[in-house]
Amino acid sequence: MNFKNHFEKIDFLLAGATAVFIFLMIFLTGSAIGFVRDEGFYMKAAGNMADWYESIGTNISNGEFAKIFSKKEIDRYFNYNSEHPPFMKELFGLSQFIFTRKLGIMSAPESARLVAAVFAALTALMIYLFGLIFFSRTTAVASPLLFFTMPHIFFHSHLACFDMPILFFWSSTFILYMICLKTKKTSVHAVTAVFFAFAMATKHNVLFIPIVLFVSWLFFYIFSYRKEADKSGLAGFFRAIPKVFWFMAVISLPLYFLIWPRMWFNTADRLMTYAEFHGKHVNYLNYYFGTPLKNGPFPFSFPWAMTFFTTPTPQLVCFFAGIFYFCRDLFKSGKTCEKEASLAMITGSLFPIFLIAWPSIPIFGGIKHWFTGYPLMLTAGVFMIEESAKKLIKTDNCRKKLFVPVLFAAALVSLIQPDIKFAKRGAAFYNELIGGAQGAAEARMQRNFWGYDMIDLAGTLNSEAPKNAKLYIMSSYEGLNQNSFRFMQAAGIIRSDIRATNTLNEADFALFFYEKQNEFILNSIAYEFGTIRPLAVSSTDSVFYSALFRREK
Amino acid sequence: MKNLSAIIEKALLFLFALSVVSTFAFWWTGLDERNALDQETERKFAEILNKNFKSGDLVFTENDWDLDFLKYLDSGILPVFLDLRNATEKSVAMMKSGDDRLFLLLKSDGSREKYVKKLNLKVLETFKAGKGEVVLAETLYKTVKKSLVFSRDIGKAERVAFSDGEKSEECRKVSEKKWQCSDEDWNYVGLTSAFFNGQQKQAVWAHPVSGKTLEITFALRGVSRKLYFNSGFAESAYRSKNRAPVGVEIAADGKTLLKYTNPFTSSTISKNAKIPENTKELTIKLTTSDDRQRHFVFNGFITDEL
Repeated sequence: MNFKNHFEKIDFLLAGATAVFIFLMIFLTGSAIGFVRDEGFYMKAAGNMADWYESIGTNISNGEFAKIFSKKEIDRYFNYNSEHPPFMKELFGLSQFIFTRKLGIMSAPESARLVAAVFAALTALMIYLFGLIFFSRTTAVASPLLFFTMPHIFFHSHLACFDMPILFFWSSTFILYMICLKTKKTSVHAVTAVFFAFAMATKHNVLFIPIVLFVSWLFFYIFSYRKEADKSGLAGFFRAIPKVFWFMAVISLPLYFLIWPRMWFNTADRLMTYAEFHGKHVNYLNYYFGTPLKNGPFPFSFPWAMTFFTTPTPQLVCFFAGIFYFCRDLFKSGKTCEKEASLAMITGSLFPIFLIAWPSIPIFGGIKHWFTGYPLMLTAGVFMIEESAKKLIKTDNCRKKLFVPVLFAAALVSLIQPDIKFAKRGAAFYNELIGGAQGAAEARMQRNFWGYDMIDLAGTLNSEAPKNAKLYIMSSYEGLNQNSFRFMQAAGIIRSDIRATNTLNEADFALFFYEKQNEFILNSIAYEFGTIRPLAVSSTDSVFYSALFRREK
Repeated sequence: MKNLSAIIEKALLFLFALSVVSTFAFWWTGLDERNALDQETERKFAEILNKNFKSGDLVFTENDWDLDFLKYLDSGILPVFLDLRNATEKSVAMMKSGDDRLFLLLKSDGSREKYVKKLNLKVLETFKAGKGEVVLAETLYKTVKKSLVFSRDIGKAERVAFSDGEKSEECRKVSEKKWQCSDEDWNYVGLTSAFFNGQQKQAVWAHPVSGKTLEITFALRGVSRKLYFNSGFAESAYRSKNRAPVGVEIAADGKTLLKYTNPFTSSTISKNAKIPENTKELTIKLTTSDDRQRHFVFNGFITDEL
């Protein structure tokens, strides 16, 4: 893979338009998507961060500079949700501090989702640049659009969570590493290390990156680099290590700690607790072809099959094409650094899927935990399709010019219908290879995730519930949690006088979020309320996802 | 090698074009909706149930994902089980508490034969319901006469309480099917349904609390000869890394009849024991060392036949 194009004037327009379009598309459709359980935690943490920013102002005006970073203050604002690093929560909090508390122009949940929309725009920009620099302008334009028309991606792009930001950081870090290999410029290596610090401060997924890249580099060192002048022997080995790895130690790590003040105190203990949380993470039961995956070892096929069935088919073909492109480059390239770059792209694309496929690794939920490398293989795949299409039409230049854009435009148009259907519940999308939502339900795949799917029920709840009614939210299972309920009220989705309860027998209304393992709750509600007749149902293609019930006895 | 690469390139381009066509064909022509029940069938399902359902009957649907018929049901028609496909002759028979009848809601009349044979049913009546069919049946599976069914009779328990050896906290009976033991949603003893070795059955939810013993006492009337007892964890428990087992002890008039540890594994445990003559009281005692997500369930019955 080589640098193919420079960023020209027209690219300001195209990249800018793409990023702005994606930002608006995500931000303006936010109210169509309910709040997932995780958002409840992160929005609460964002409130703590906004409090911290307020307290900084107060402490400065009181002349108490030392207090700002005292253990007591830091623990007060950073201890909540300490199992995840703080960078995104700091941004959610900053957004809340500015747009909610100071300017008063949006609710706290909206301010958090604004940050999510910004990251979606950054991801679009990253894909554009990757497409332009390494492939073609057509690829640069088509790839972000194809990327965001995947219903799962569209859905996750809205959420004030870490999954899309870490996708951005994961893919960008691999792209930057590839640029490091090609340019050898110290500044690029240093920028990559700075960037990587923010990646680490976003989510732990990226901690694997230096390991896999170093192992890959070591492989090429043993078989090739060490034969170069000055690179043999122990001293040569250390000289040969790309600067970016040294910078990750001396720049990324300190910066990471700087971004995460909670780690300044009781560092070893807190790091250990952080590592333990993720090392011993709970398994989220998933139904997979009718089998409840309760305890490991889990089937190796799980994330592969889920990727196969939850990606729209045009993008799925691009994934295959992208991997083929990288593999061909790996074997075709003459230069070792180009081979290494191709291997890095394959690793960046597939390592997240391999990791979850490992039988002893718990299943954390939906595809969001392994989609971090999708932009890499998608973009290369789009280029591969573009090139193949151009080769097909050899004679007529005009037809050649039109054929490729028409092909990608047709793909995008074909995706409008499924995207609209699953706009509110992208996490429930399955492609036609399994028969869509109905086919997946018939095959008894996990139907939906994270108890967010109640936007279709909110209108009925708000109009039917008497003042101060109590709503059962299924919080002990895969339903809403108290935080996400509270933020739905703050966002005006649920009426503010309605109270959430986790005790069914004191509830006037009940939400039921369908998952096969929670099927028993449907009858529990029915026994308690005296009826199994729902007041409202949320469904796509007649597949039942969630429902609202009213007590009748 | 070059030729192979060119062939793969062409194949991928072909697949991409095909994928665009298949996306159009599937999502724009209604193929994605093709297996849904039509509205007439849904209304008919509900109409037939509304007219013929008697308290205690059980409803099974063949389709567990298109549940729009629920919208037209009258109050009191419950429970509805969504796992007909995996049901077996024995699992269905064991869900019955007495002379209950079964309603099978089938997508078409073509599947009637299959289920009647598989579940060993005697068809009492069939109803045409749009494109589907409702079968009213009773099971021919011979079961012993049950004088006490834990799930059916949980409301008839003499006492449900937590005890720490010195004092006890009584659970409050909130309905014929439920005893609430605190304000926590999970802290109750009551009717639920759960998967026992892959088959959905009626069961009693009984969440133990660490440091205490959950005691459920039933008075035995008439002749009680044998106890059948099944226990395990509801699937919702498997989201936990807590591996703590649940200790089970069943005592007849204070004397231990059964005692075992139910490990946190996927399979459920089945036990049986003879009940001494003239036993007046049966107590089920549950304990655990760590109560996080111990979504414990049991079912079973007492029969006067050996």
